Amino acid sequence: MTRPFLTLLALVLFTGLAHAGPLIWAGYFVGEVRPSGPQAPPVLSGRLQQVFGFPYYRFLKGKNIDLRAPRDHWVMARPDFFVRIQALPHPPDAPDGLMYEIYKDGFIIARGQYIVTPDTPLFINGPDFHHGRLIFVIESR
Amino acid sequence: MNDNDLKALLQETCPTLPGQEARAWNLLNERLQKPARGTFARLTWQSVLAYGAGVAVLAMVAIQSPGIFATAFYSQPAHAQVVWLNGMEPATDGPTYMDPTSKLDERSSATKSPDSL
Repeated sequence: MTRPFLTLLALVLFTGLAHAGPLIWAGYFVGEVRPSGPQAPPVLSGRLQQVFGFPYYRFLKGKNIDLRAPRDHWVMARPDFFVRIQALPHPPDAPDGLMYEIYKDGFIIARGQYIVTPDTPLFINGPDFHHGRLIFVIESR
Repeated sequence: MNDNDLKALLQETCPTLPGQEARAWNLLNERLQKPARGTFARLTWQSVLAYGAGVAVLAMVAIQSPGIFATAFYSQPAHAQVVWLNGMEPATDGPTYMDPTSKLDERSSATKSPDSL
């Protein structure tokens, strides 16, 4: 009695894991010359500095996104700058991917694809904001 | 709809403006060559590969707005994919209507009368 139950449980768990989609984190930072507010984690901050050159990266907002949810995911920084994310359909053996669209002033200004890879985040250089610059980050979770 | 139809539709709705690719290419060149000048001697096959990957990614970003152009590349020192947008106006500091923590709520609650629901 116990063995069939455990087999069924293992099967359910395995099936669930096999269909697990990409879990990502998407958020905004503001690259600044002077520190203000909560800062990006040191490792991420170092990577951002390699690309954008600012010494400080203030955390603005961010959230985890489960791309299995069959809907669009909107990540808003400001009313005039935001990003739409959508999971790309793919065969089970292919890497997870997503499509992003960048909006400025209500219009799409760019779209592209990103293969969700651990340790290879996506950085998007946004518009200037206050005395710094908005930076959008997507990374695998 | 097959690939050709989709390509034709995209070309019709989001045509690439004259000179846009050249501007993006020049900017990418400029950006990639700046740090490389001092360390030209350290140019390895990995950096050449990364440069090639950057050029390949460039083709994956479609730009739809006039005056704004983008370059995409792989940053080897940061181990990250980068999309670099140029020509945008600064972002506004106004309220974000979909964000409950934005200033919109503070302002609306401040102006709300005690009798209102």
